[in-house]
Amino acid sequence: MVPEHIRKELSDHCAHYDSRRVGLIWVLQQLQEYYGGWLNDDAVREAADIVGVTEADAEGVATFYNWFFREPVGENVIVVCDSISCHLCGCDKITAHLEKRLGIKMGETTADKKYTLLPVVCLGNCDKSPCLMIGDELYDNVTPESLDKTLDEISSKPKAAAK
Amino acid sequence: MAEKIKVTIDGTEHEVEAGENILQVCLDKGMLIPHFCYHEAMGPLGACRLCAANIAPAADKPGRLEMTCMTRASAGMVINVNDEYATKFRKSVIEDLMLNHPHDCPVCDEGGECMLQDMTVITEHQHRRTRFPKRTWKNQYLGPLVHHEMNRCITCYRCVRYYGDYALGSDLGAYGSRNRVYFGRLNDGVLESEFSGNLIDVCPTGVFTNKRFREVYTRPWDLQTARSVCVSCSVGCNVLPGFRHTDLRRIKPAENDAVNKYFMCDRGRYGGEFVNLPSRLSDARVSGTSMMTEDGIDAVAAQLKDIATKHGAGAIAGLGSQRASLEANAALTAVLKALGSDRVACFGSQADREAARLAASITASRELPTPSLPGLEKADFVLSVGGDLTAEAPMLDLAIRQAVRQKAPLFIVSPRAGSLDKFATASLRTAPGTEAGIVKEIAAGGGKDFVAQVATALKSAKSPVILCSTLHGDAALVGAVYQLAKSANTADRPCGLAYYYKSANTAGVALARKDESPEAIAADAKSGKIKALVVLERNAAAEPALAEAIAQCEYVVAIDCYENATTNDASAVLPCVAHYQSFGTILNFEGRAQHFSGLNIPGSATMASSEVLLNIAERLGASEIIQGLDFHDVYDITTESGKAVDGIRTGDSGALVKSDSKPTAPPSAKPASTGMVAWHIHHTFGSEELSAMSPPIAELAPAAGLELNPEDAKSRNLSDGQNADLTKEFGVSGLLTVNAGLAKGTLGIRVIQTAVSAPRKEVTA
Repeated sequence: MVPEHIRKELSDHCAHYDSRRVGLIWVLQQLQEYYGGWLNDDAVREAADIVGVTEADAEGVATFYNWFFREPVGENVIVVCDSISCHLCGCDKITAHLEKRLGIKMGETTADKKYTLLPVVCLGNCDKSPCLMIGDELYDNVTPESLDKTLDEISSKPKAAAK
Repeated sequence: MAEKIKVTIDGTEHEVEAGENILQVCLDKGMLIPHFCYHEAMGPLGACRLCAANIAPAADKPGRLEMTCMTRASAGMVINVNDEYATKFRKSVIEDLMLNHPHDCPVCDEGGECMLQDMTVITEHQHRRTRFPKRTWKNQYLGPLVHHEMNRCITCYRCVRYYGDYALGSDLGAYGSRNRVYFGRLNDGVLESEFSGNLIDVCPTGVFTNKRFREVYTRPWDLQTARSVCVSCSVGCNVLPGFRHTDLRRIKPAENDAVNKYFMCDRGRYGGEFVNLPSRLSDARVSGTSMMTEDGIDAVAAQLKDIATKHGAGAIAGLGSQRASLEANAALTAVLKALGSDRVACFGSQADREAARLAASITASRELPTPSLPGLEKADFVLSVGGDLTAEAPMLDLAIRQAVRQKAPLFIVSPRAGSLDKFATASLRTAPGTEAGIVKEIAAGGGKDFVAQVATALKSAKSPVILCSTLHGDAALVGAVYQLAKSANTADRPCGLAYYYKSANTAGVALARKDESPEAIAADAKSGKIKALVVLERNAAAEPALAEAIAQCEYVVAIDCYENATTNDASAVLPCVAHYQSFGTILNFEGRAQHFSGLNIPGSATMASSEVLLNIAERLGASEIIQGLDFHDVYDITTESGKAVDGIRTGDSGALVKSDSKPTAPPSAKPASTGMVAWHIHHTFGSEELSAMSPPIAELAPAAGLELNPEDAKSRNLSDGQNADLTKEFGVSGLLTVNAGLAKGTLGIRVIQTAVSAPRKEVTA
């Protein structure tokens, strides 16, 4: 359970809208951040309770969007687009390179909990295919080389302080 | 009335209302446009992309592909359903929808009445081109009523739109996205809604199917079906009972725009299996000897005649039935008339009788409008008084939910919280017998808190309705509600008033001219003045007011479809067919006379109870009475004017009865009791006599017992789960449930009919 003052803040936020339901996505986002990057069953239940929707509703929203995770994920989530444009521009190569470098398959998390690799259908960036996202950052026209450079930079950064 | 405009559909000009839904227009005109997500009750969504047609705003403008369900008619519009590109498009949509759909039609329970099957055939999609594997799902256990088969899902969202948006259920959701959308509960478990069975009809394919129906393999085209009226409560939903061989296999709602529209409640849908019970009667039984029904009728007629000759006409009385047709009750009075008697009691107690008769006379006077179900849905103020709608008249509850969806304020005054209370603007828990006082306060205006809130909302409403229960025998409340509605009713702002009753035909027998208090008949039977009782389709031996009289009466004739306490003890038993095989007319809560037809199903009992009684009358030599038997004679509510009542005659199905007489003056409220008052708690499942015997309903019924408010329990040193012995005060004892949703000063007694649950017979098709 989140502390009372956060709960109140989340609940108050929902009151800004005509329908409290509108606040559900934002509440889920905050809870995901609070609970270390993913939403467990209790967190979804808590969100439903704070917003005042049914559990089924909250679960529906939490499982609909790509960036809500219902299982533990690594510190950096990499989503690789495998939709038409990226497919034509060679996203398979990018995926293969990532799988080799990280030593995991698509959908898995590295043993050190640093990376999670996931597919995604279109990032709306087709003119700069192939593309992918690492965390909140979007990367255009990715090549294995540019990817290596980016990952080296991320790996060298110290681990973000736990919240 | 919207403006009439002309549109062209496939080259033919049609006159439609401006703004009308194009898909609905086409469907109404009998054109087969494939569609999935659109449902008349739930409106358009535009999700399935199947109802596409080429639509041009005018003849000289180019057309383009548009979803007909999302398009509103405008003047001069040209719609080409058979446009080549649109036809091809629809075929491709079906191909996509069929990507993951299993090809299990030969073993699927939906086969033969599957919308997906029909739509696939209409669009002429035949060959599966994709080579990829189909996605598969795990199914959930959803309780004894609905079976889940997720692999067949085509993601039309109808189920969640019905269950969540329409029926306001909270435990069915849609999870995930893209081709991995899952429809179900969060975890396995019984669906909470009392209207879950409608998922079966709403789902266009076989994801949700009838668990009871699929237990014994039957194809829908093998069923024998005749339009009937549900017997499970006083709403009178139209139904299609389906028989195979000698058994009832399922009940489906029959469309009736004036009553239930497309849906029905689970009690009605699954409560019909009493028809199949091993305890259904097949032979007549006289003095313990089984015989053919005809021989039984001879014996009974002879015995009744003998008693009438020996002890006089006053020695015979009848007990009418609230679940039997008007015809059967009329035939009972014909038998009595042939014997010279006119003593009939249709109710279980004088209090019930007064309340129901007053309510029925108010309704029949048509002084105030009685809202039908579609009318209730449009209400902008709802006040429910005295009972639990979900349990006592479930489909009224579903209609109220539609009003609530349109933001109508809902107020509830009753001793116990029910499923509808969570949608109420405000609820008032008050002890039984005090409701009438609160209604009077609302009518008087002023007051504070709840009363003021209701009065203010009622004042500003444009189409208010008030609903009142007559199941608890409170005639003073019936009268108070009538006064409130009358004071709120003006020429430009009509105030709807509806009473609902215990059984399917209670409203009908409540209008009977000849009906006396059951206590009077019971007293005469006990004193020996009445020597013979003719009991029509009624377990009178289980009714407190009559049990002793039945036990002590010399000669009891029971006419019923199944074995019960009354038939067990009766001197003579005559079998009749069950409601869904029978025919006749019943009056629903609105006073709507609805005829139901019977099916001639093979079996030993072949006569409807009305026929059994008419046969007795014939043996008594009362052919004159039978010939002159006009149901109006018995059920003429226009006693003063002598005019016949429209709607009761066979074939006049669906008409509202109207009386010229004013309702009788309501009795004044009894002084409020200072002590604890007993109140019968009716449950959606298990409280209604016939449906409670149906195995799936019996499974869902709560345990019998008593309920108390936490404070009352504490003051009596009783706790939850304890066996409470209140025999001295109330003559009851049982397992106690402490319920904060029960008003203080109320002893709740759960009405749970002892269900005869027998294993279903194995039948091979």
